[in-house]
Amino acid sequence: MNCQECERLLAADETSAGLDRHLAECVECRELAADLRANAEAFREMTAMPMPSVRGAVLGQVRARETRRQVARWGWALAAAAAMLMVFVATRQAPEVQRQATRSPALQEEQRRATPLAGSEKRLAAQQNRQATRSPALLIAREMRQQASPLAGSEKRAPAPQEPLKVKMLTSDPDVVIYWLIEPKEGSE
Amino acid sequence: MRRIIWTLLMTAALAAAQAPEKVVQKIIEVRHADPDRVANALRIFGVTAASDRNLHMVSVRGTAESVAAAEDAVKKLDIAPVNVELAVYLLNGSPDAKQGGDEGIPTELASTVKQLRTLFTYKGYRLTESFVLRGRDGAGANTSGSIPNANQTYEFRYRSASVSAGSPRVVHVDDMMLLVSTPTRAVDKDNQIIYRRAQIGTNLDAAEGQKIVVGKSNTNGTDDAMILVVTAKIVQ
Repeated sequence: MNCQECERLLAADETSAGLDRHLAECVECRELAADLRANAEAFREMTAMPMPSVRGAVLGQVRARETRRQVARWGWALAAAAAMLMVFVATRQAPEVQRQATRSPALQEEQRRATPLAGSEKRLAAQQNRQATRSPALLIAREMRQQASPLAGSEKRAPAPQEPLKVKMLTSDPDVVIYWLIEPKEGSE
Repeated sequence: MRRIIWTLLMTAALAAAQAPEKVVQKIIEVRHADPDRVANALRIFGVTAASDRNLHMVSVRGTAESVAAAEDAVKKLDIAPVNVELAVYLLNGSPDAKQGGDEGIPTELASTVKQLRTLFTYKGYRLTESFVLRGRDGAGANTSGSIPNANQTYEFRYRSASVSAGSPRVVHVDDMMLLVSTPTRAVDKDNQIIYRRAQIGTNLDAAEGQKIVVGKSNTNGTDDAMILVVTAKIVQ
């Protein structure tokens, strides 16, 4: 065994008969082995001192601070992500709301007209569909207009009536188009 | 020598070919349309456009070709807005045999009443009110008043009336509403007169020359019908 092999075995804290023989013959390696043993003993003593607990406490505080930083960093990232999500949702919904709010009632009328008038069930379905597709913005606008009515000051306001059924009547004159409105409760006004 | 001259000529030709296009700037008057919207629309031609509402003009800057295209576009966009004129007639249909005939029906509504007679059994039709309401294309309008010889008031309004392209042109009347209020003898807890209200609310698509009738039975607690006749006219 040479000195290099001996150092490797000492560093690995291994023992063998060859190592013992080399240490008996080589003074330098014997001194190295003695230093290593002294260092190991010193480390063992350090673990018994209160120092490691202080070190652990300090390290704990450092780790906690690091964790808080990470949480804060992630918090900002989450907040940014949430803001982006809100902007995304708003931009996705804004045209839709705009489209519904500005959706031409004439267009709704076209759709309603496309429904055949024959058959009360179909008419009722068309009416329900029309009511379902009415945007809240339109309802609010309508309500606001009712409140802004110049006649409102001296009158007792009736509750908002239900949407009447609109029936197109067939005429022999193409220049005369007749629609008849049928209230859900006829004559209730 | 000839080679040198030839080289010089080629270089000059290349330089001329690579010379940047001349940038021109022009101020265009916008009489009718919104200058801001016109300026926005012009940017598709690759010009930079600025607008001034007070001066009614847009200034464009770009190549001569793109500025010319923008100028042509302004001529097409800057058209005088049309007005929509609605002639509104309010009729009353009565099943009362005493009324017997028609009262105050103008000649232009003769064909309309004729059609109503073929469809309904009302004995008589009476004109209660008529008015003309004019508004800008795309805008709303409203009016109100008292119905002559009746203790009633009315309010008529629509949110917008827009003219479609094509022939015949069609006026789309959105959220049209007629409210007729009749006072009752009753009062509420605040000693305010309670009104009986009848209303007609709908959307209309009225082609030029058409008479659009919207009616409703059993109004004002009677067997009468409230009938609204609307004709649309587009005024340049």
